[in-house]
Amino acid sequence: MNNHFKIIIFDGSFQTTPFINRLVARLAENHDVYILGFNEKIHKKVKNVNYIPLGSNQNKFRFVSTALALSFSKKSFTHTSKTLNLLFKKRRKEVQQQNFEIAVSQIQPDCIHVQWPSLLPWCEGFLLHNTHKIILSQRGSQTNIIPFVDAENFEYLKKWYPKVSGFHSVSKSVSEKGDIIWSDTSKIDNVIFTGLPLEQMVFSNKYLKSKPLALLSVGRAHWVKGYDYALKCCKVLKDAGVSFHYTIIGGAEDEELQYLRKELGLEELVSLKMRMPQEQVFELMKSSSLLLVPSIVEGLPNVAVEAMALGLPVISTDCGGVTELIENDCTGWIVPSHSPSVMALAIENFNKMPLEKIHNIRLAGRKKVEHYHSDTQMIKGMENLYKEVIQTSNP
Amino acid sequence: MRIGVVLSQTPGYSETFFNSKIKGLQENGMEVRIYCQSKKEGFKLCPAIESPKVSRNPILQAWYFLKEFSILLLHLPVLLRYIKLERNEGIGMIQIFKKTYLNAHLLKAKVDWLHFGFATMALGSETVAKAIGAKMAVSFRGFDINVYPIKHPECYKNLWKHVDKVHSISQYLLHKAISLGLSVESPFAIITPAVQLDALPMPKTITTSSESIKIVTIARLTWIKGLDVAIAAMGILKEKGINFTYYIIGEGDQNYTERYKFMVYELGLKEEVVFCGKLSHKETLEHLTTADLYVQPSLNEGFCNAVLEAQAMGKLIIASNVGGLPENIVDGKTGWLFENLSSESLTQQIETVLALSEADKKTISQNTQKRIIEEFNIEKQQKEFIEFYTL
Repeated sequence: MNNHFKIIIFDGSFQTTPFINRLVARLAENHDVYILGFNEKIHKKVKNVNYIPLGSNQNKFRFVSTALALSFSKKSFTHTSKTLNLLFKKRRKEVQQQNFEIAVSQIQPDCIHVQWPSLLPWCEGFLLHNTHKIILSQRGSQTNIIPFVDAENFEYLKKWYPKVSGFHSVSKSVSEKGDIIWSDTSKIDNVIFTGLPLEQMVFSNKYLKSKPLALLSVGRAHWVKGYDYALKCCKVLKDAGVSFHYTIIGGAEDEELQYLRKELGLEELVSLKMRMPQEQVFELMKSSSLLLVPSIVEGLPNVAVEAMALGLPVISTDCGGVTELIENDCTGWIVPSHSPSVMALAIENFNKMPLEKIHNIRLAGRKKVEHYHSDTQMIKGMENLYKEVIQTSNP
Repeated sequence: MRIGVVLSQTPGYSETFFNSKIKGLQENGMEVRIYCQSKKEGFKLCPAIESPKVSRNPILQAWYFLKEFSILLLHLPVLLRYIKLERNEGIGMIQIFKKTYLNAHLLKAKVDWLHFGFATMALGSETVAKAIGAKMAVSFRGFDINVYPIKHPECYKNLWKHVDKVHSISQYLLHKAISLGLSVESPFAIITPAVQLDALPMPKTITTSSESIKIVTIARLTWIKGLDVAIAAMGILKEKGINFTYYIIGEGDQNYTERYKFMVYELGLKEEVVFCGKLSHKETLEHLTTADLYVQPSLNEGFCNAVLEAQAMGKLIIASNVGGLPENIVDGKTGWLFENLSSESLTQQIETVLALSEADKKTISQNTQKRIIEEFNIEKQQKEFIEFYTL
């Protein structure tokens, strides 16, 4: 068997995450890579990757022309008439389903890598008849949260998981969550950590523990991020007389955070900022003293990996895969989630810590990231997973 | 006397506060009209006038404009007065044109009082009352004063300038409005919500001696209701080996539902915490009758009707010490307060209450009901509203 594969990446959209973009760019060097999507808007296509539209959700004309082109390519009268019929009745989802199936049958992929569990319904036909190898990524709330608060979703995944050929998990902890849904001795489930372009991410030698202590968090304002607990932690710090300033990138506009900031008397001490481009975030990381990850749930927070790569020390809650990245007091610090006072204590300790110790932790953090979070290990891990799945005969 | 009440929609059947207010005014010979964005099917208490429609279709919108402005020409003096008032506020002509359209239903009103049902309703209509020669009143209810101005500072600058009299459902909200710039000289009245006692099922006895304690909260699933504080407290109670079931009555969007359900899952409370979803008023009251404890963990409340109803039913109540809640509950006499945002404090308070003797619980329950009957009855509220407009 050769090592050249045809791989479909199915994210639902052309505008894939930076993680997927880095993955496909490298995969395309040795394999045929296709990205299938309903949302066709894209700023910059990844080189050497084939983008196959499945019927635009934004543009009616594009929707109709895509559907007709795909159905004509089948050169079957019944097929085309079925398409026309569906189009006429405005049964959008069925047209898209048909588009998806035609596109896949034309590509004849070795495997389809489905990026989110919510996309499994599109693949039910393949799963049911075992026509294609499906690989599913487990990375965040769709594996960590929803199955455990929505019994129907849990039952759905439990029903279809055994038919999935292989799993990619971004951390051991998310893999364990997936095992609660379904587990079997024949299950292929590889933990492949996020890879970063580390050669472009220069470790900062000019680290300063600023006064007031510059605390930073990065990520959209969503309850899983636990910013409400971080603000309560700031109140504890304020009451203890610690000099600090806390910035949340992505926290602007959120009513709850604005309310808490005011209610806890933190208006001078906390900045809630809009999202910003990654380069700016990296600049801010370089001028900050400490990254806070106050999350309730995470697959494995990329922002912590990025901070460690750049040499910014991290205090994180023990959410999800963080303990696989950070060993307490070695590569950063771990505190329990939902515990503002413990987090405050950790920050106070950090504030009193000699620079030399912090420097050692920073170095250890970078080393850890270089070892486990390089682009190369991610690509190798992913290629191995594809190979394993493709070479395993389906039961 | 004619009162125009401005609301987003006509009050629903269970919104006793507005309905009883309207009935009270009518019984005293006052005429009430509601001005709203949408009228609920079957609302017959008083005439309801809908605001001009806004359409995305430019042709349709042009037609609406034409229609409204032709009718407004019949009210030319009012229209001119309105334009002059808005010009004085430094508003540009295009903006005035838009505002005139949006306020058209109010500009045609012939009323003595134009009463905005909550402060945010008055935004963009601050000068309308003066233009139509009416007095302007506004009610403070909670979100409008507690939350909205945080994102929109200075939003009530014009309201403070033009309002003739304010109604607040609690002392707290009035003071908060003053801190937001309301003049201390503005005439005001505090009229709290009231309960229709004969509509409530009245449990004869209260018991907390059963094997498992039933705790209830009525709240939408949203951050300001502080449900994470309560759920964390339930986690501590379970660790202490206390046998209980906690019912949360209310619904929320997917985001908040996931947030609180996940917390319950994380803390291993799936057996102890029940999400009832949205229940009818009647079903909610039925739940309350069998409750041993009622908990209100909100991060803020203007006053809180749920707490008022629970008190009327003689329930033992624990609420956060914030907003209008300390006025709603007399700490230690008709319920208990705990430190806002603190699940430890809530847990402690729950344990203290559970440890009370049956006789003490009965005394508190009776005190509570007595106070509600005397101070929060519909008749008193109706009388206060008549005075609000006439004194």
